[in-house]
Amino acid sequence: MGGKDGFGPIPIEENEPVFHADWERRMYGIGRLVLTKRLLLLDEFRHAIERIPPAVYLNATYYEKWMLGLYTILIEKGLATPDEIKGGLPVELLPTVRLKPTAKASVPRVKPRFKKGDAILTRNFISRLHTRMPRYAHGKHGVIHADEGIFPLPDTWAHGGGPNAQHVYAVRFSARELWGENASPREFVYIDLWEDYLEPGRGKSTRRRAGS
Amino acid sequence: MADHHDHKHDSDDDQAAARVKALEALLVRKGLIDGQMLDLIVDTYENRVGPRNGAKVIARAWTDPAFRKRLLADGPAAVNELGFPPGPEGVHLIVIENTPRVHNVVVCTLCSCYPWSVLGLPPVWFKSPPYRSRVVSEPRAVLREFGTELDDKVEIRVWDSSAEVRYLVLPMRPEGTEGLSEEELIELVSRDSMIGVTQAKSPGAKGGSERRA
Amino acid sequence: MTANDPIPNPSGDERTFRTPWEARVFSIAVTLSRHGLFSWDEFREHLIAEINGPDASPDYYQNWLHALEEMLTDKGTLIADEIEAELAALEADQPHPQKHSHPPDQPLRTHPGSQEDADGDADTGD
Repeated sequence: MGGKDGFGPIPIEENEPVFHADWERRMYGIGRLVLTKRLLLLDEFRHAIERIPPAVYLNATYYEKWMLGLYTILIEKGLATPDEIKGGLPVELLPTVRLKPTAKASVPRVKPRFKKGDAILTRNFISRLHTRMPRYAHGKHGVIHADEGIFPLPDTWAHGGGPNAQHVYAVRFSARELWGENASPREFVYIDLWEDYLEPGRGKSTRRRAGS
Repeated sequence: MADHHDHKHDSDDDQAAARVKALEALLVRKGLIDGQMLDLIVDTYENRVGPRNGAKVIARAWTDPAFRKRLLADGPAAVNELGFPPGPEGVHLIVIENTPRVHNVVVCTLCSCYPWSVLGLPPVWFKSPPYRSRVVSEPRAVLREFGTELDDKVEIRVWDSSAEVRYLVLPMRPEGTEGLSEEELIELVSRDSMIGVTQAKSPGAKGGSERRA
Repeated sequence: MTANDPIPNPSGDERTFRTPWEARVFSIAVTLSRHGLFSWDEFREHLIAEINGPDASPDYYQNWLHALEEMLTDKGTLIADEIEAELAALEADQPHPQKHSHPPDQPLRTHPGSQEDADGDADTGD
């Protein structure tokens, strides 16, 4: 693996791993760079590594695995052909990867269904698949406190079902809603919930109407 | 009986130690890990990352209103200013401030999620079933077990970190600390006050939490 | 331990890791995740299942260890019973298994399985 360093200094992190060869250090830096620049998602990288045939996988060192994973993705995204990789070109390709906007595996732009102040009702799941909603919060009324951004849904993603990226909200529940009328009126629980867990709730929204 | 419990505990530990040793040997043989990397990580979380990081952030927020504003608006960026980059648990840190009217406390009812980069690893009690289940339903009683009494009029907010966000409580600056330097203020910011089970320490207090009037 | 037990050691004055094996299994999970074998979220899924499942241990890191083993077996990184086989092999090498004791001031650093001496490259400084 040769080629010029066309993309600036590689940032060194605090706990830099030990490298047994120079190419390993470069591979580490390349891997970090493509992840940091969001050229691909960690999940894609991980899945590519997982698809290395077991006989190869078990004998490869971990930087060899990174290399193989990255090659796989370059080919699958149409950024390199197998011949180019055989010819030892992929390092030269990386500046190209960085420049091509289509190469960016950015966080998908998904419109939020809810906004701050919206009244919601959490769903009541029977199946154990939906792991990130605490049991005490099923089937409860709450109010959206904040939109925390877009994240993959672990229920499907971690079980091979794709990222299913969606908004996650901090939702405010009153203690009385969760625990009954004897609870304090001055206690609230905020839970971070994926959009799939929520339905619009009936009842008063605390959102200000435009113009009021 | 204490003896019986200790024996079982020891033998469970011996079994676990053997399994971990076997697991590590396998993973090293497969080229997946390196013993030195493991040592580095252990060292990091035993000696280099801990609640003192968070205490520095809090003390800075107490003395620098512009920093406080930045901290509340963008936790990771502000924390990074002090040289604490996010750890493996992610970059989504939200700082929540305590006020005379609102007191915040953090939990992870599902497992043990915790803002490692500013607080290090969580104490055993934070990961325990009694804390995780009771603080959401009876926070006032739980806080009392940590020596914290809150007036009934104070609103309590319990934050359950069920997703990617990690929460850090910005405790109120104790009274009578106007003359203290940032270094002296750092000493008053306990780990527990950044989780929310206590207030920050009073100057001159013997390590316990401040009692509210 | 159940929800009805008292909150254990609220003073929180304990070591980061109670035993060397806890430190080791923690760092194995973090290292593997950092190297891209799995996302932290994926590990968390397994940890949540273990902690809240029927076989949950009262000991947090026992749950961590089980979760890690389960996940690695699911992913094919470990073949079923590979750990048992390794245990047997290690035991065969050790006719007299030692009784451990961990005095409080014993350093936690151990190098099971690593052949080289630690050298200066590993030092990160601050």
